[in-house]
Amino acid sequence: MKKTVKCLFVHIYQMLFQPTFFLLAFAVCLLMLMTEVYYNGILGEEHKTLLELILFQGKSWIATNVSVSSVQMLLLQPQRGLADYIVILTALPFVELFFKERKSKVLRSRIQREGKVRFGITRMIAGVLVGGLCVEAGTLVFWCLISYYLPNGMDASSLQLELYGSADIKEVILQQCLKLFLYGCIASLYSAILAAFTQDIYICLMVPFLFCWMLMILKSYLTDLLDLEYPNKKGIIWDILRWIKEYGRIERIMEFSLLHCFLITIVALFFSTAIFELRLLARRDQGA
Amino acid sequence: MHKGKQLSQLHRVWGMASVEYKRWIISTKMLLLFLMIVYMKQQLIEPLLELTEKTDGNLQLLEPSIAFMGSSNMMFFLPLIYLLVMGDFPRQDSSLCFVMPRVGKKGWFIGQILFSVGAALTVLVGMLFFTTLWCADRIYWNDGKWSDAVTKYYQEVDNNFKFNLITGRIYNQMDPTTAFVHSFCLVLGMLVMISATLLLFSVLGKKTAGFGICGLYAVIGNSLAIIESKPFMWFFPIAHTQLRLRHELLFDGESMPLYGSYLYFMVATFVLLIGAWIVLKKRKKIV
Repeated sequence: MKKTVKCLFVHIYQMLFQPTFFLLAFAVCLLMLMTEVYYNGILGEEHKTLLELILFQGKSWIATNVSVSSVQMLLLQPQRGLADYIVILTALPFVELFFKERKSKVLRSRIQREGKVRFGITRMIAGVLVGGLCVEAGTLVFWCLISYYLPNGMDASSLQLELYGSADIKEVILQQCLKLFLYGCIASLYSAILAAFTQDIYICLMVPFLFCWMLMILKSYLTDLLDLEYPNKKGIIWDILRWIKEYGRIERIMEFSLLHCFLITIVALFFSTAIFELRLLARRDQGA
Repeated sequence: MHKGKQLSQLHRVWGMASVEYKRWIISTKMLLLFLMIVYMKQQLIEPLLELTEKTDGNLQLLEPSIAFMGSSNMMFFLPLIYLLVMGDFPRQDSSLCFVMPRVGKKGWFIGQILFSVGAALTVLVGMLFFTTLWCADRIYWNDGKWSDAVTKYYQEVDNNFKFNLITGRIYNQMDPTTAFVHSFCLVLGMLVMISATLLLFSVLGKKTAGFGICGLYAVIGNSLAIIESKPFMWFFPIAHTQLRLRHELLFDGESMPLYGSYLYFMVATFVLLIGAWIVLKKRKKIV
């Protein structure tokens, strides 16, 4: 057990302390800043991205024109920009290290040293945790920025507080941060599983990304199809389509309670580790 | 094909370029272009379509492409994605020691230039094709004139950065066909210049430095272009690709003439290629 924990920390350390991780956290923050903010302009209600306001308008302008609070902005995450790229951003530290080791043949000796089972479990858990930490680091920078720029730092509407099941603002922020962490964990699973099956880093990163994007397009198409054209159709296929429409996106996890979020992540991690492990055990070349 | 005969230099160069191109086009690296397509859909197509919905109108055939090439947002990501896609250009693997004696240094060099032009054309035309395809149900020719969606809406009603794609500084100064042709040539020039930079640093044996410099083209050039820092922005290729930066909203005249931009790309690419050729000629070690 002690050796497993040590291996886990080594894997996390290797993924965490590399320039890619910090770049990705920066990218997460940047994508969060692409959230659109509505305000009362000269021509009525106008909207611009948060990044635009920070870069081109400045703090005093934001303080007088924008009424949305920093907590509300945090609760709005993840928005479209982040949701589209999250699969790549969170999986990159894991995938990069895995393919780098595979290319340099270090993977073979590492698996022999640690053992296939231990390596599979610790690598998968480390990859998922680092994926979550990547989103968390980006969120923290984002939170610091919006706390400085946006007014009414600690105000959130009671409706949003009710949605989070707590009236305590600090608890709500903490819950949202934890959910974003779990969201990052889940998002990193796709490429992590695929890494065991393919030797091509681009396929490993881009196929899950395209899959999620297709689901997003499919969802908007299904919304029209199921809600407007065939609202009363019944049958297995229609049920599957309705299920895809409802749960086909990773960010749906943010709508569940923290406990449910956590349970879903654990179950998903268990299954993906099992797939990764089985694939690793089945390979005679030991991934090299 | 030419068994028993000696291949002419032209055939060798063409063969070199076409082999490189085929290898590149079927590589999985091309999947990275989807990153750009998704980003383009979000940042360019959706605002454009929103614009047409608000004006209840359509777009001129070339407008989505002009918007793509005129958007500072897109011109920031296009060089970066192009860099990723062209990551190992020029390919210098273990097969080079067999290729070089056959085609010669000159043949290899010209083949790489041909390949880079083909690659730049493919990326650019591919992007423009997807841009137009996304708006396919809302485009028409409009007798070669600008559509109402572009000329009437954004200036008067919404001063949003997102809608600031085809500004009065373009549509008051030229028609869509002229804008498209110049934008296309200038963006292509930028991509070829990036390839030439990569080629030079690659033969110098400093590929990472080449990557960094091309990244700086994009980051610094785009930042200066956004704040319109004249004359510094004209030192970087991105400002030259943006037609709106050289014109005023209503007044005639250009802060940077078009021939100046063409000259900039031609001279820069020529100097980089000459530098690469000199280094390559002096180099004894092939791989």
